Amino acid sequence: MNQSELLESLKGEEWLKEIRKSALTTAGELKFPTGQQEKWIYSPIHKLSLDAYKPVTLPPSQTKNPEHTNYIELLDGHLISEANSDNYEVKKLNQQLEPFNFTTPSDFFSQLNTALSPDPVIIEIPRLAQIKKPIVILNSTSTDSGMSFPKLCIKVGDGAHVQIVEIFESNEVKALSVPETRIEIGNDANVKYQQIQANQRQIWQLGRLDISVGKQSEFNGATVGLGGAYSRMETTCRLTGRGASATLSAIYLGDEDQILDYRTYQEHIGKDTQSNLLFKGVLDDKASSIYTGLIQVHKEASGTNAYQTNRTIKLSEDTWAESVPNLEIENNDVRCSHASTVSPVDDDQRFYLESRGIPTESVDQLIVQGFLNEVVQKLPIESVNNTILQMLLAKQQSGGL
Amino acid sequence: MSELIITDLHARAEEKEILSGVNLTILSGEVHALMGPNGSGKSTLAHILMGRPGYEITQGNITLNGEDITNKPTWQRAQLGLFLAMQYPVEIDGVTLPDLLNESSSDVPNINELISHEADLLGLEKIDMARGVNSDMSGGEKKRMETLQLVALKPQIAILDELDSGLDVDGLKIVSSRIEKATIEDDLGVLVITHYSRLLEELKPDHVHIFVNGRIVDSGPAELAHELEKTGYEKWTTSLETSVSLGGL
Repeated sequence: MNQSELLESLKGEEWLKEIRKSALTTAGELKFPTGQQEKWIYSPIHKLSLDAYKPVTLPPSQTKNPEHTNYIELLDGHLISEANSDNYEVKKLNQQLEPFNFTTPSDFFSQLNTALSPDPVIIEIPRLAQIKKPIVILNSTSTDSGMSFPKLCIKVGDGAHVQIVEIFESNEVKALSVPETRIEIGNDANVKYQQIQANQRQIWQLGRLDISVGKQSEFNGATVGLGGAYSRMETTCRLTGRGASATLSAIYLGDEDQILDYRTYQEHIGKDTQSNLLFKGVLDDKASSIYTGLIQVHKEASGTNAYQTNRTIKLSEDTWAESVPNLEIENNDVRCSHASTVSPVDDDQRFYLESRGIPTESVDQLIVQGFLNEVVQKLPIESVNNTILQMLLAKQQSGGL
Repeated sequence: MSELIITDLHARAEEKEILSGVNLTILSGEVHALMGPNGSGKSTLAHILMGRPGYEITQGNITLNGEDITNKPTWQRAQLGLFLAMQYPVEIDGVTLPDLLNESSSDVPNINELISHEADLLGLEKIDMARGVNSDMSGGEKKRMETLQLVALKPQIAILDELDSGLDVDGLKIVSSRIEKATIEDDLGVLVITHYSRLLEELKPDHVHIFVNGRIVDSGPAELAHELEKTGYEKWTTSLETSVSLGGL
């Protein structure tokens, strides 16, 4: 299938086809990234060949999991379950007549996502909505040698309060997933967002999460990274309105030869905005992690408070971690800090706990749990915290983390 | 009745001999004070007794109740009844005191009740036990916390490595009398490493040992500690130098 046949095979009105076509052209101009580019430095992007995967243009004929009826489920990027609710609206853009204006970052994979997403979905949370139960979005990857492009935009109206759980999971297949989620938050709103990446071990995921936070709104988001062969999540949080605030947290656990890659942007545009980032990871066996973060304070953003901390514990000598924090500040009236550490389990802590009669193995587990506890306490959505703790524990125990 | 017996213990770290034949026996209920100039190897002895990695034992052995623990890992020594109150207790974020006591092998019944009871006695009632062990605590609070763990874990023999440093006068009194009580009620045997006789006012030593250049060079009754405070260690360090130079002849 050539490119035009590929685009033709995707459903949608003319306006959507035009957007796809233009995005594919832009992707072609931007070119496939190389490991020399700053954005991809330390990553294994040079090992990725798009020729090894085929876009999943039709929804796989997988029967719906009856347990998933309350979820919004995207299977290989196709919306297969909408979980309609009175509280919010789920729109399929490939069935929509009137055009929707996409914002696509100037990035090869973002353009590819816009071009090849078969089923872009909009979730609209109306103004002043108070949604008590979390909205659960399941992003599943199921087709072997498939390449999928889930695309989701969540628009949160002024004054709305909502909790969102987004889960990435997969079958035991070798596949590439390029998901993109945008969360556009109006004014005076409150959004809690929990992302869980629990893909199987042969999945390459190049994900993106873009958040914009309006005046006096609060975003509290966390990600838990457990699975995948190479899993990258690029998060941009733009604090656009005065008094907007964001908490960004992450826990990542890597073992075997997993590579977990996080790239974050805390972009302060409005006055008196606040962002607080804490990413903590634990690596075992031959796993690697990359963290690159930028705090960017625009000229107009006086009164900014921005903090960024990344810490990684290495349980084995064969692990590898890189942590690159950056600041770019154009205003004098700001408080910013960044900190990063990569270290093995502290010998003094280990000796201390062992001297209390705790066996070495349990000591290391206790130290790791204590280390992660700082983030666990910040996880935004209480009703899923137990599940997350169990997943963390299961990974710790299975991999000897 | 428990006994910790150290016999002709020699050890080195990075090719340098740091213990040169230590002999010492500590029985249940006894308090032994170990005093000596800075750098004489007192803290090293404490670490080696507890099995801290990084030292090589070249001669001699350590037994606890007849069992040779010379090469046992730290946690096994602790499980057999040995305890070390550290000179510099490390902060462990996210690991609370109840977590620690739960994980340790000792069956500590009613942990929370015990903690709050002992915390009251030790002047730690204002400390939030839901935070990490030693996290954001003052030097004195950390030493009270060491004492709390000691009494909660009920070891047979405890080594106190400069437990007095960081404690104010009141704290010193509270901590030392709490441990003295354990020697009476629980038959705890104690090795107190200190520079000052103040700690020994409440926690009364049965024996005082003078430690110079990696070994015990003199031992005596409690009064020896007071003598030391007046005269310093000169008498022992000089005589040692003399004997060394004589040996050289």
